[in-house]
Amino acid sequence: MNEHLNSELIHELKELMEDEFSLLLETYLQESEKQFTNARSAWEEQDLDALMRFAHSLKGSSSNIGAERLSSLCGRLESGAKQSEREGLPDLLAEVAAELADVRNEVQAMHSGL
Amino acid sequence: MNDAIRVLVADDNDMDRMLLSTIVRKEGYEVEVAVDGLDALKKFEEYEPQMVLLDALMPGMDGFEVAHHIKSSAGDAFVPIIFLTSLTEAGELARCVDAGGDDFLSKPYNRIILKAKLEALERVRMLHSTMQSQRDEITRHHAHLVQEQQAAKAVFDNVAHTGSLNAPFIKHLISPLAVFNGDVLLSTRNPAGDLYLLLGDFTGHGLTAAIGAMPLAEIFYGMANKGFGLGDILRESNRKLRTILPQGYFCCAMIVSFNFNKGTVEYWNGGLPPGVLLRGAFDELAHLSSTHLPLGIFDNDRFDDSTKIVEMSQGDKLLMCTDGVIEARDEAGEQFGFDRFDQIVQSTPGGDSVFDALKSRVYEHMGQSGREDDITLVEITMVAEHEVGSLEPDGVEDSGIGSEDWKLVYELGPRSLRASNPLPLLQHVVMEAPQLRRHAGEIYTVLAELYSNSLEHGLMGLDSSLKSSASGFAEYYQARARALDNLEGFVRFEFACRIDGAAGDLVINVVDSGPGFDFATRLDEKSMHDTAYHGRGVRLLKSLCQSLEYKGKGNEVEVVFAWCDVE
Repeated sequence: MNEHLNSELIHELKELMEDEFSLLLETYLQESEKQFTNARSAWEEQDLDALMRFAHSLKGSSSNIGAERLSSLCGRLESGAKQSEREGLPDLLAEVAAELADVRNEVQAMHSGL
Repeated sequence: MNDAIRVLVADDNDMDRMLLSTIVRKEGYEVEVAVDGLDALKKFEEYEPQMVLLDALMPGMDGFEVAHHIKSSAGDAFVPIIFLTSLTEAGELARCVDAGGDDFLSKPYNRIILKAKLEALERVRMLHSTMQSQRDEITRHHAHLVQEQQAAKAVFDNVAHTGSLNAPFIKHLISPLAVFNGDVLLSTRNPAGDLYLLLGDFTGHGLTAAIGAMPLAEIFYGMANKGFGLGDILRESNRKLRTILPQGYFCCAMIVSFNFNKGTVEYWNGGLPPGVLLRGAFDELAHLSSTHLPLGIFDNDRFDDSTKIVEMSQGDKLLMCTDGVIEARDEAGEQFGFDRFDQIVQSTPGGDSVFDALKSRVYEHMGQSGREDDITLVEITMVAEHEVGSLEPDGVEDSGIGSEDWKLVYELGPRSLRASNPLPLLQHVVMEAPQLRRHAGEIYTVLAELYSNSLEHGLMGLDSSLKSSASGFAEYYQARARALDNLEGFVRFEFACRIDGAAGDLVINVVDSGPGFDFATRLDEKSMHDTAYHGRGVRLLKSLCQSLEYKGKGNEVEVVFAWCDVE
């Protein structure tokens, strides 16, 4: 049923975190929103260094929650920012936003279903 | 969970930190968290974790800088750091390594991989800590050992003191390779004033080599001061070293006795390089080579203590050294060698110090090359008796308690005459009288002369005039050795001592079973001054004693040694 999250990894996380699984999901929801917002502001201010850092951070936590496609998009955003490939960045940001929205929906659904 | 290993997890990302802490805690570790770089340093100081998981990119102070601080504040302790990073570029990984990172963990976190890494690093940490504590223990042991060695060295130096080595006619160089010296150089005077010197080279160097030197020194000083001859000292030393030294350890040694009165040197060389005798007046060299095995190899029943005697005139020099000198290598590995030693002795112009020349040439030869052995070099010059200086009287400040009026008869049969030297025993008995201790040297000389006259002339019938030529000198001692083997008869000492306050006399009567001699004609004034050697004994006796009288058929002599000590 999940298209944006690696269900096997989610299963492992559930077993590992036990009662705290729900808190882990909440933390991801809060943090990912914050980081994306920060990333978009950084782009608007043309602060590529900050953009790179937020992309890096979102890449890591997304990877940990099994959002593989999102993590890889964040990786492209991070390296684009690092290499100052400005022209590709708006499209990448849009792709990240779309994928993040899907991931968040699934996480939200999972959280509500607990 | 007091024994749990403490792990610090530092990550600014809340979810990642939460996830990682949970994994680490579930693997049985105790976890503390830090939310950024500065917090990580603070928690490191407070919490003293044994391992650190560190996010590379953190706001404020990044992971690289934190790692630097942690590694330097950990000092000698090994605190493994695992960098949390999905860094893929080689340059970034190199920064982690430079900062002191011991491993990496990438996202998504995998429990099994992390468990393996933590366990591997824990093994390394334990290994390091074991090594560290062993190193500390070794350091403590070493400090303790050095302290003990210094204490032992002080005892050693007291026992194996260098005795008469600071006499002006002795030059010596002692250069040990380690704290303890495997070479031993001992020197003292016997009661008659003869100089005894022993140069020994124990197998190896350092403490193991030095251990045998203590009993050797005890025996040497103890026996020499009691008046024992070289043979007795050698036998006792050999027996002792044979008993105490481990298999394969021994002591190459050369022992010499200088008689300044007669101008003779008695020697025994077991395994040391030849002593080099430089006869200045004749410009000739003689080698006193080793003809025995070193001390501590044979049991005493196979040990040969036979010595040789050579003459030395005033100004003649005897040079002795240990293997360390002959085998000293230069930087190319070439040994100094005995030929070079000989050549330097021969070519040093008269008037120059052979000893100084040898010393500087040996050091010159070695240059900067590393030393391999202890080095000892000694030179003794034959001087006139009056230049030797008088003996320090031993034990003069005594209690005054002892025998004051006594008589003693001591008779030696052929076997005793062959096998033993009665002088130390007799000297010991006579020294029981406190007043006589002031005259120990003179009395020993008197006893020694009386005994050798009775034995060599009275019983063996040797002709002392032989000793006036160099070849006859050797012949005399060969004849003496032959005669000793076939010896019959006896020598009897009779002592009578009377002491009255500070004055007193000791009458010594010596009888031998030999045919006697025509003392009336032989002891006239003319022949007494005839030569430097024969008759010398009698003249010496007359100079030391109040009276000397031959009796019977010339096989009996009586001397009176009298004294009157004024405080």
